[in-house]
Amino acid sequence: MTQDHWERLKAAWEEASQLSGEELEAFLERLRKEDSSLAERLESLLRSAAIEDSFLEASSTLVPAPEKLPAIGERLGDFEILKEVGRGGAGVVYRARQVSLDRIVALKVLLPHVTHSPEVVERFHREALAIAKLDHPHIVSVVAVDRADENHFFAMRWIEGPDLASEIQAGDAARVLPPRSSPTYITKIVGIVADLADALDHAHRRGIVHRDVKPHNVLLSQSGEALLADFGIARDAAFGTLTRPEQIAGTLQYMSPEQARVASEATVDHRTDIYSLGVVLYELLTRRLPFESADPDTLFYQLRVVDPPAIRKLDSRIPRDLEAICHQAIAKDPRDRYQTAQQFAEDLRLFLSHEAPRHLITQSIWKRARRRFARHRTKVLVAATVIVAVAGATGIQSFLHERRHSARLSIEIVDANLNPLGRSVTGMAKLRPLDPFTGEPAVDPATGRRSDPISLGDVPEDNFYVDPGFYRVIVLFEDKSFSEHTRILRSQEHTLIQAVKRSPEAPGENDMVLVATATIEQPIPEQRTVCPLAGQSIVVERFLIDRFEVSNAQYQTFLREVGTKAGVERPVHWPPDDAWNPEWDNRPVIGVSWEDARAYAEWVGKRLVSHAEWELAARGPGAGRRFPWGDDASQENCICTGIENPPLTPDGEALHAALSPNAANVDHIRDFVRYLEQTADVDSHPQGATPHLPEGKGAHHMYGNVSEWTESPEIKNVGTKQPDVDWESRYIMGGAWDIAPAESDLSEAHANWDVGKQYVSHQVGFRCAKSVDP
Amino acid sequence: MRITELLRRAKEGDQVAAEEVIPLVYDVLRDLAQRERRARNATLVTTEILNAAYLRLFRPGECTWKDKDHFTAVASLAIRHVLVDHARRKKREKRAIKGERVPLDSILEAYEREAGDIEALNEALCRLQAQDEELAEIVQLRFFGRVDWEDIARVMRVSVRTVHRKWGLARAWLREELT
Repeated sequence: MTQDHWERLKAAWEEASQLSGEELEAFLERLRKEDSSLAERLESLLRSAAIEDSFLEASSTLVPAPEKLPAIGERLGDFEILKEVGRGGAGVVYRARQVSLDRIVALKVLLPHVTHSPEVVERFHREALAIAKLDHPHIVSVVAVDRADENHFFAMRWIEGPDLASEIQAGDAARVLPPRSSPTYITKIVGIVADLADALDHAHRRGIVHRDVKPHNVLLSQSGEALLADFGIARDAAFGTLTRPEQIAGTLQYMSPEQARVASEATVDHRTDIYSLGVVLYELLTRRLPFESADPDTLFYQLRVVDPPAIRKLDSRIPRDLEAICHQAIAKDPRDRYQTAQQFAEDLRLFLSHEAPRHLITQSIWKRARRRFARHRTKVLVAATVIVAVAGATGIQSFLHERRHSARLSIEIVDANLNPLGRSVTGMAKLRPLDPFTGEPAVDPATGRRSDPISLGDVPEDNFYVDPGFYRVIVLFEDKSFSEHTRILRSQEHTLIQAVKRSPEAPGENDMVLVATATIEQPIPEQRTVCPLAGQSIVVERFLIDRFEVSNAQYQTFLREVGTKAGVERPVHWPPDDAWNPEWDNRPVIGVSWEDARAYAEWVGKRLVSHAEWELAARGPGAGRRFPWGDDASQENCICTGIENPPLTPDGEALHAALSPNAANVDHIRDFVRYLEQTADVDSHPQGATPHLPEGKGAHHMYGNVSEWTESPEIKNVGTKQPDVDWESRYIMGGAWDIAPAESDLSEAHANWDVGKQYVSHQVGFRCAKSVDP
Repeated sequence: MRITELLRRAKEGDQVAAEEVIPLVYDVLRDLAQRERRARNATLVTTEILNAAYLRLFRPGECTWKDKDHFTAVASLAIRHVLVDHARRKKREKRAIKGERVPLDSILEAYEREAGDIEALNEALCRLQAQDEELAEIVQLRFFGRVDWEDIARVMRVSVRTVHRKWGLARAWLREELT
């Protein structure tokens, strides 16, 4: 229908829909005479509109209704709402007046969206009643549990005073805590933590675990007494509503490793509170948290694997005994912690009276570390197996809310050889945890050993639920070939991997060179660069690396075979196919986003190079070479002019003019022509290749030509106490043609760039790698 | 990325922003579906998904009513994408799904009870969009977003009566397209 027709139909509709009966009939009659086809269409629409059924009615019952929260001034049972004072994931806290007793209370009302489930409501009341029975000077007492209409709530004593979180934030301006420099500071905070440990012990003996001990839940009365609030009520519901990373991180920082684990709900006991209280002590002593990453994925990793900085390293004035007490409270394995809150309290009080702590577990650090490592491994394996078994037997749903942190992983297999018999290819999947800071398999700091891969089970499979983290997912096929997929698996997110099965004699495999296992120990340069690996000693496991950057021709084959259905895009800088000159085939591909580069690598049965691997390949072991070929800054060995945007030659201008008329983007064409003038074939410059054996088979163009994507995320705040991982950015290595040997060597040839599809450059290409021992 | 930033970009017609709301909306839908299943015996009454999604994504006072209108528009589009996508995937997947149904199934079914095949509706809606964007927008808000008439009127900056009239035409037109 033309726009004109449509507008007339609309106008007629507007008019007709305001008429009825004879008027409508008269209107239609008139219209039939003027424009019979329009009238016909309108009548047909009117008939359709008169049908009364549920078509598009948007009335289906999808969601239970959220009941209304009480308003200020309203009565909820015996309570008059005075003011909203706080809001969390699960509930709203009001300052309220208990009318019958005329006293001020804190009223916590469950948010409507968590009260849909009868289970949650039932548990809420059960727990509130249990907590109401707690009677301890350092626990905020619950004075009433009730419901009114659809609102479920409980009332607690009103404590006039700040919470510990705001006190910590206020620093020396705190209202109750003395300033940190004050001689009474340590005595005061140790006393507070000892009181809180008493309170926890009181609850633990009655079978109640708090599970959410954090400064926010500690109230300080005006007399300086600490009171613990918010015992585990509706914690599950609360967690389901945390969707923003910083919220999750905020909760995680005080959470015990076992609590942050997947599918281990059953193994979380009262010792989780001891850990969390230990973190509070740690924070009060050092004014920082054991782990401070704002990124939940990094936090999960640190919580499980990394030891927090020793307290006395952060502040050497803190007494040794106190350090030992605190570190024992936050031991990763519950068995290495204080076994009861009472013991924790007792050691703190002994410290206050200048006596030696009595409950420190005197085990050699090594013994403890080994024990921990062994147990850690079995636990992960068991957890993974249980998940798979349960998923298979009873379905995912019933199990899901127990795994609120887990990441979902699906693995499909695509047979590149198009198995003609129709027998589908199967395999086994394994997970290798990677250290996001090095990109290498994660090392247990206690043992110095790399953690072994975790066996997941048979693939294809839709539903693996795993601990969130940075992993290499390995799919082993029946014929011993394998594929690798480096992924960040995020909490509550679903990751789909397509493992491409290739025959062992996959294309291009013989164009790789073996890089032997070695340690890189690159010195920290005088002028600090962005290199996050400098100053560290990193063992890089042996691997294969492409001798050449991926070429245009290779990428063209990839595009032809996968098409754009995989979401892979044709490099934006490329001129149209009919203008393509075969002389360009062997130049390095450019204009490829990081995701597309990874898709290519996995399609050919390889993966992208890790940052550390790239360093080892290009610079060699130990302190490393300055350049791939050696230490001399010889410009003849590489494509490296030092000029980013040199003017085009007359030939280049002519080519530009010839290509432009058909191009979607003339700027891209200019970049492309410049790239043609500045780069060389991927297999040129053998004199600048790395010295890998066999002789003459090293890797070309690791310095200059085009810069190369790696699979490793950027490390922010390098060289500070709190480096962090930026998952939206990846290192690009080796520099492009605009790098100059006289000015910067490989130690400075780093950059990083974002991972989105739009981040493509005519200076960035890539090469692939493959593990030898997956 | 911050929600408010997404909204600001969506306001400027950035399709990418809508795409980025999709995972958020997906999470909300999935959670709602799970809750619905768990609360088997609870009485279910009509309400908007968006309200729940909105509550989930914003802290009170974090943004204004105007932002909420933009959110409503972007989220309705996101819901449409999520559902159509899910319907497609269901058709494509020949492999039997292990265990129970996927959470989105029940929501998709609720929508399909009213619209028949959701993919067909989507295609028809695309055709309507080519013809008349305003009408398509109303359908998107009302049907996919479950937005109140009053709110639609405010988002579209027309009167409620006008919305009803336009909705009537859109619904009749779509019904003819689909039969």
